[in-house]
Amino acid sequence: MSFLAQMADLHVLLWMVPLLLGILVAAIGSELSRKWLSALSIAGVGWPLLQAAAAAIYLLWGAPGGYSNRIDFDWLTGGGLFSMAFELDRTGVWAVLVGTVVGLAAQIHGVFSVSRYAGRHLFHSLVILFIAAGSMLFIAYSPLAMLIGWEGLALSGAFLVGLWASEQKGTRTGMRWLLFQHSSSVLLLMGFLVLDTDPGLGGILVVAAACVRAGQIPFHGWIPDSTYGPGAATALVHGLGSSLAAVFLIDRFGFLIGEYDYLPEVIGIVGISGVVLGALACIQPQEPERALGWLFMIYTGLAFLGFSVGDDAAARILVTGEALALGGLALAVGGLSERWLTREVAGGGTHGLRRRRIFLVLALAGVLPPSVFFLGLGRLLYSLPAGTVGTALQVIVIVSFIAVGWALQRVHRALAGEPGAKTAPTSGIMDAAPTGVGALTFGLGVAGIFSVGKFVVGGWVGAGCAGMATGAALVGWLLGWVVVRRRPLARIGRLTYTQRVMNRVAETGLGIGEILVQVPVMIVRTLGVIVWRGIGDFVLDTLIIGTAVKTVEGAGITLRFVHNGRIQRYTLVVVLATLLLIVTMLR
Amino acid sequence: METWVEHLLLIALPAAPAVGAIVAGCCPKRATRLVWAVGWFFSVAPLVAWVFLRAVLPASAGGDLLVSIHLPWVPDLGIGLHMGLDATGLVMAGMISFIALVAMVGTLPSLPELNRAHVVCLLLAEAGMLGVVTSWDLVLFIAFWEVTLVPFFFLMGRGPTRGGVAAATRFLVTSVASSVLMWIGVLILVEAAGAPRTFDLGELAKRLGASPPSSFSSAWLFVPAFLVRMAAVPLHTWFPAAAASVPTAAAILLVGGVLPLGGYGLVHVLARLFGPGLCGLSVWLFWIGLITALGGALASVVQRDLKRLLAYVFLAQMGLALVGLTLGSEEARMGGFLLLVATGMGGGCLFLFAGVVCSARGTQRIVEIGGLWRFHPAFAGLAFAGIASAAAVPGTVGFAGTYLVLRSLSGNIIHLALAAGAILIMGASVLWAYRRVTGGSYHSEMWATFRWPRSRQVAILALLCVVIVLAGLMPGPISGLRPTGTGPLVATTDKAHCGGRTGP
Repeated sequence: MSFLAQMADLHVLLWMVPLLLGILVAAIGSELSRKWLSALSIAGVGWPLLQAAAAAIYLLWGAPGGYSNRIDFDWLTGGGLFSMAFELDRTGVWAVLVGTVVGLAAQIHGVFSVSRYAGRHLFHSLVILFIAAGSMLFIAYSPLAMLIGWEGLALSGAFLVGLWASEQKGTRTGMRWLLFQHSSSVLLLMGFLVLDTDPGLGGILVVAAACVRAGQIPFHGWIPDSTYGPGAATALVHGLGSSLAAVFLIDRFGFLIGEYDYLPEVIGIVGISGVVLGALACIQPQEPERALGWLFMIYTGLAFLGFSVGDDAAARILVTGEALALGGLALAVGGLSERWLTREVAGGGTHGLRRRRIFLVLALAGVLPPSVFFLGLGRLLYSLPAGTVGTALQVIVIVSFIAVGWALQRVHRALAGEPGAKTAPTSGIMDAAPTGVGALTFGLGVAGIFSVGKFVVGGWVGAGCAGMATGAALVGWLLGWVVVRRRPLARIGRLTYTQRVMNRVAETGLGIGEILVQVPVMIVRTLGVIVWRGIGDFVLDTLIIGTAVKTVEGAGITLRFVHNGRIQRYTLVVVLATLLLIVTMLR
Repeated sequence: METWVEHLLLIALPAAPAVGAIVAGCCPKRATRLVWAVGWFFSVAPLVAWVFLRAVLPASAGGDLLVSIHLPWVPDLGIGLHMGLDATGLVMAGMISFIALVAMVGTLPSLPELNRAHVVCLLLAEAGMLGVVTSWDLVLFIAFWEVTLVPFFFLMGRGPTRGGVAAATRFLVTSVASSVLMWIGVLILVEAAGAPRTFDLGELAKRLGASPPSSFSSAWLFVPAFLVRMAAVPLHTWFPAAAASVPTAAAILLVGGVLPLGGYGLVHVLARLFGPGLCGLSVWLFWIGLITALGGALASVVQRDLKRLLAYVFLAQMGLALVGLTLGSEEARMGGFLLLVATGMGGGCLFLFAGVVCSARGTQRIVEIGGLWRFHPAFAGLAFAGIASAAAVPGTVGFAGTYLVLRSLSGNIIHLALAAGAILIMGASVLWAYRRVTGGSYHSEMWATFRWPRSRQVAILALLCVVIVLAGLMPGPISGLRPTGTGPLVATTDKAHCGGRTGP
């Protein structure tokens, strides 16, 4: 037990070791053999996973009452407002564990999926740094540490999403993610700053930061673009960087939600709107990766709904299931992303039937009992308030799973690829990553039921409601299958006019997300032109400062001409006298 | 107890580069290596002197003089050679020494035959700026303030385009005009302070503090000089034009030295003479700062020229610094001061990066530059420290300053929202530019064939990167200043941990 206690006490190693390894991989990764690069890359993610597991055992079963493992770096930062402190508690260790499991799966997948890319060491380095930032966020005990972790996730995520971008689309992808996440950081900073003077407003700003990070309505404009990267990047960025981080933030500031009545309502409205919008968007004909993005939005919306009804445990379980199940799906669909990647790197085909089978298992893992997501869903549906509103919410959630099933069916079908496409070589270990994650969702579900009992799903009522959602998903799958059989899914570029319109609608998040992106950008740019060209260049530079400077310059030039003899002195005298006369007459 | 070593080190700060300029000027024009060796040696010397000073001087907050030397110059007129350093001056001196070293080591003149003139101008500019920082006599202060203009005029006017000459003229004219006003203000204050006449800053502050005769209008006479150097609206128009068209060395010194010096002058002279409230000026300056921050941020969004974009970003950062310096609290002033350091370090870093990249590519248009990450990830990665500081990413000195300034604004949500909006916009534009410049494909045929970046440029960028991060992570120990109070945020975090429910 003393070893486990040491692991819990030295929790700063959770981010320090990955940080150092990430820098090391970035610095010397290009010189390393593939074997060593893979070993270092996996060690960078594996270390925090093992340490967090050891610490979790200690925190759950070995830690005495009142145990605290706070470590502060005031000797480094000077303390005071710049206090930087860390503490690993149960919430933190849960988030680190979930994040590192997804991270390890993504890293293992990435070792094979990006192996042909020249800058693969940068990818691995970014994954490790992403994990380091996440771990820092989850064990942060001071605002500065929390902000560093929050922004670290944004920055490393931006490069992960857009690292492979040699074309316009990829650059746009990374930039959108970065701009949104930078906005969320500024919102979080503002929230921290006003928490002491106006806690209610501070709470709203913190929640807004979480909504931007999670891509919840109306800040969902970045979601469709963000899935264009490799599957490993999508799994990480959505599973850990957005959903888990956002839910963790709201969880950390849960005490605020209890104090202000309107905060749960705001979170609830955002959550259920996300579920509805995500459901509407994911059933449109579109590229499979993009549909996955909307699924992430739906699942995170459900977790938000959990917070709003006061069931934080449901939110945590839901986001755990989301990170594992959808993260696994993103890795499985990574075959398509990789095809996108290989188009620019080496050319290639699709991965074929094996990937489809894995996807099918994972898709079921997301909704079938006893997966961890199923447990969370049951608990959430049970916790919804009694009465008309609660019933309506239950119906909305259950019906939205028709769309989930429909979208999963479309993605599954898309994995078949085009007729005649050759199958690219793939590795069994690469497939093992999503499979393992899928198995873990079931394992956790079983463990949850055995350790806590049936009440983890909200009893028979919750299990029944969740079962109805599962049924709805299966109905959606069948519906999608029937529709697609009648009208085969067309690939992008071969869509009919209607499908193109629908695709555009889905891409822009039914228009709302795009409006929220484009309108502020347009306003800022217009103001920028007015300020720069109108006020700066014309009024200030030309009229005011420019006139004064030109007058001085003109006087100098005139005197030089007089000195050179190009202007006779008497001419100058005559001109000046005339000017004086005119001024006198005017006055 | 001050020793002669400390006095010697203090004098060495402005004297070493001045002597270096004379020595370099005496070298044969064709002895390029000798000239550069002299330049490097005499630009390292002030930094070494500063390091020793920092080591021997006690850490102290506030405006107390840590070291000073007072020699008579023209006693009948009350003019003396009073040089000294307080806590802020010490930090500023270190920053300017470092930035001057960056400019000297990291850049080359636009034409090979200008080596000697380039080195002499750089050393003179450094001497002038360090003289401004160490001056505690107003005549000496204004003398150094004006002396700085001359080397800058020649440095700026030797750029690849004619725009540099126009920018240099504009800078010179506006600076001289504003300095005349400052002179008038000084003479009014000296008269108001009574007999015996003195130009000593500390003595004047003491006398005026005892019987404040200074009025709102006489305080205004000082303001344009500092606003011009800070490139604050509406006296900012010289800066974007200058930054875009002057040689890299001049751009680094402008953004890393001249701009922060404007803010330092505001604290060093104006706040000392007129008190923290600046005779009612602080409200005006606050709004000027906020407008500069917002205007600069908005203007940066629509720039397509890399250097112009960076210029507007740092202009906006200076606006935020002005906001911090004019707010009443100690915390805000420290934030403003840290933002001056951030502008210096971040500006030096990014203008070095931009200068090297743009000269190698032969264009400053952002859309025509790309793929640096694939060509030289270390160079591109190191420059990210400057970008992060400008975007106020936590862990950088830019964030440390921004955090304190915003915290001081948290009582008024509109002010806070405006300042946060400016930070958001400037962060977005600078990150966008970085993404465009470093992302995408690298086409080697589009770039100059000579070796770039040079190893010394990478090394100097790495040093800047380290300083930006260290100063961001430990602003107190690095700056010698300490923010007071723990703040309720720590309590909030306590509550988040202990009051929130734990564990699923």
